[in-house]
Amino acid sequence: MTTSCDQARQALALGLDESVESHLRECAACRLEAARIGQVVRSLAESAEVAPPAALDARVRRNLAASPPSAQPLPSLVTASGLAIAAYASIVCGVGIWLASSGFAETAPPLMAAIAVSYLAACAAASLPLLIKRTRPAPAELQEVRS
Amino acid sequence: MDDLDRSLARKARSGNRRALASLYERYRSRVFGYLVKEMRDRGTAEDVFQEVWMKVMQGIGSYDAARGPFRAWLFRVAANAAVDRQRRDAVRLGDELDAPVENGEGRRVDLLPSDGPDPERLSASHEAGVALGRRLGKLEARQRTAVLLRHQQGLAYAEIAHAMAIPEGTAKTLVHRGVAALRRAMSARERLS
Repeated sequence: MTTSCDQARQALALGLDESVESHLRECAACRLEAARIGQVVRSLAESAEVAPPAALDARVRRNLAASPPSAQPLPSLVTASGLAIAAYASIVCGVGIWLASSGFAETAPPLMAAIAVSYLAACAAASLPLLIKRTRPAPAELQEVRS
Repeated sequence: MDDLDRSLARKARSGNRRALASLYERYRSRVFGYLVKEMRDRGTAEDVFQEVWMKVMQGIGSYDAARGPFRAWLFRVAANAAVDRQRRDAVRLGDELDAPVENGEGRRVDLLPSDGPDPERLSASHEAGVALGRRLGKLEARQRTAVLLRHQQGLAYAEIAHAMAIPEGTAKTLVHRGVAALRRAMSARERLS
């Protein structure tokens, strides 16, 4: 399959020059196009690396050294445990409502009390992860960025 | 490069500060070079640069080497931070700089150097770079990001796709259109000069 001028110019714009080398050897118009696109690409590539100012560089290095990088994402584990506990609380609540509506509560008050306590404990445990997430302090570096 | 990056990123994921510092050392100039062009304002680029490394430090735990090389992930963080900042600023700095302003004496002046020749101040290549920078700033945002990631930073299309969360074919389309627009602008400038 021969490469058309349109295909060649598209490849040049995409930076895939090697795929159209044979076409460029035969086509003067595309060679000129390659030179023009090359000028654009070279100009962009000249700015690929720019050293950050010394003060900024030092500040970022200090920030990176001050706090260890975050390891495996904690929030997902916390959320998973919270969801499990919340599911348990919902089941306990459902069973309690069913027993109460069936009249069983009148004949077994201690069991109902145990269910109620269990439910409250589960609710408290389920809200714990949210409290942990809310009270976790923002790293000092983030506060610096925000300020 | 990828093997060393992968090894350093794995250590950084487990809380190793030296590994993160090494990644910073390897990529600081490239990230800053990208942001200077993307933001078109050095002061804003400095702000975003700091935000990027903060996000890297906080998010390295979520980096998954199986989904792409570290540098694609890093430039995804950088590109997202740049977009967030541009949205926050609401007004494009480039548009403000491009528009003439009152100089206080009733005259309107350009804040950026003119495209016309000024041999005393600018070499031809520098002048061409300034003109290209102006046109780059007027590209559609996604085109500009894709062009920079490809032709400034040399990312593969799979990496650009990962960095911009777009299909590879879309990345190619954006680069093709962006480069075509830049090339047209450079040709028009040549005809005028």
